[in-house]
Amino acid sequence: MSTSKNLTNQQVEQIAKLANLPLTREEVQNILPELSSTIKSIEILDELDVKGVIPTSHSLKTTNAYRNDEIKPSLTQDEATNNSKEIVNGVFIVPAVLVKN
Amino acid sequence: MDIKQLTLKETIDCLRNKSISSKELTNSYLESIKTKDPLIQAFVSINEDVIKEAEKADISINEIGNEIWDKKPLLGVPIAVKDNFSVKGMKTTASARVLENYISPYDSTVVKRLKDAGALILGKTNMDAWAHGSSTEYSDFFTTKNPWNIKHLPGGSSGGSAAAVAAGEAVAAIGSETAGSVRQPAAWCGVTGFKPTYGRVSRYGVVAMASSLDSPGPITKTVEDAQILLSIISGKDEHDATTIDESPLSFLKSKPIKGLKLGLPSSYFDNVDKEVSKMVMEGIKILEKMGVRIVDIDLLAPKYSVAVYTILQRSEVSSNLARYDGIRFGEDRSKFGDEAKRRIMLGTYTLSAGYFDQYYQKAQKVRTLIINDFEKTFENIDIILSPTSPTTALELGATEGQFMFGELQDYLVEPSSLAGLPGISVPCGFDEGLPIGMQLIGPVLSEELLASVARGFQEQTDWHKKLSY
Repeated sequence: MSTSKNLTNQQVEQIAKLANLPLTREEVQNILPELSSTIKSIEILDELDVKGVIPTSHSLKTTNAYRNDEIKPSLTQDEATNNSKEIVNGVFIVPAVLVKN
Repeated sequence: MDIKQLTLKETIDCLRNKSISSKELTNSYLESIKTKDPLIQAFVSINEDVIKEAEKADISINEIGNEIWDKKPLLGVPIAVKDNFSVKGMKTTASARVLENYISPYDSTVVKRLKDAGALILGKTNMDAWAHGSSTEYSDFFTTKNPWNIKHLPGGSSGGSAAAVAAGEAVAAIGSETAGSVRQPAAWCGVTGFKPTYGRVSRYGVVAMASSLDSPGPITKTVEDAQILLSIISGKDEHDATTIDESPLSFLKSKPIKGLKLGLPSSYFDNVDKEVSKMVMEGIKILEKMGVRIVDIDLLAPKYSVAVYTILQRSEVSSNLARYDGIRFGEDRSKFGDEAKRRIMLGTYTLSAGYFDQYYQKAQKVRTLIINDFEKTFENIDIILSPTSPTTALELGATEGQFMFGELQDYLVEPSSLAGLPGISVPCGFDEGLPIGMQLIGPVLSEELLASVARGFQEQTDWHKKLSY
């Protein structure tokens, strides 16, 4: 990807691919100016000096949290798979990732 | 007695002294929904078993006697819940097509705690899909209307919860806020919205938006009602590692108001509607009469928070929505609405190789500056006070063509959300028949102080007692 602030169609298609979003050609056209204008608006942060500032990932500065490793009842296989459209013998059917030549 | 005019506190008292039954109470709200909701459209779904559950609650109330109230303080009270909270056996759609047919196999912690306290789930309320928005116009299903004027928006994303309470379709409701989604709809609908400290209430079982910000909170008629709900839903949860190691809020002791220092940030009054500013200033006069001292303060301009929030939220959204693959549950990714697609796309861009430092990392650093700014400010004052929203409820259609409607509309609530601070919005007046909200923001874990001041304010005013119905 180039660092140009006005995105190109190609860049938008590449982002859509990374995001696993099936966008139509029309959607790519529509989203391009929207994305470009949002990107411009967030670049206001360049006005601030953040040299030496530590980034925040959790606003309360909490450290890691642990719980006891106890076995407790959880969802049954049926409950966990109930919302899927394709279940065979209690397992999810997923699209093939390896295809035979 | 019109049951729908009672606050949550009054409703509980009536159940306790048996002047109403849970069945009567629940029926009265179902009736109200039946009459009003075709117009207001606050609810996405209604719990079909709620009357049966109310009958069961009545049996417990009659058979067990008074000691039951210690264990189940909300026994028999129907509560409306935003549709991003999982309720076992009910649809949880987050008002999104992708989850249109999804039925939760478990309860979110908030819902479990409500049920353990005896509450009934009345129904699930409409929202902007995935909580992306501040209007409910981005709901994939329909737009909720403001009960004070149905040509206007209720705000959002918890717009259905706020409208349900304001329309007398629910005695109290649960919402969730990432940056403004409890306080802003509460302000626009003339009700009370309490966003607790990040980590005070568990996010377990809530459809995730931006996980480093999401905070469930109550939307109610009064501060007292919000306290009742927060005391039940708050507290550490082993299912959410980000919850704070604190006991549930008790609100047993109210804090003295006299002598408190309240800061007014001048940058929070720029670009605010004249009438909104005026009524907030009137509210401040009332607080001054109660003995608080008003101090002018400077805070980092909210415009930086808008940018930080946009980057962090959209990045986290793109990551959180990556799980929807249409395989294990839900529909496939082509069913995302335009707003979700926009947010996923920007977030993917800001997280992608080569841009991470420039956007996400930078936003996290500015987030640190915002937190430091608040910490420094709270060394000298107790509470920050400002309008909740720069305007009253906007007209239907206001979000059209606005790529960043939510982020721009909510600039007065975003800084405190980024810092994880608690905030409460209370009604402080009207402009042309539409409610105005004033917010109080405190340091982390200051919910008791905020509640004391906000409750004191409601004891001196009756804006919160005005009903749209």
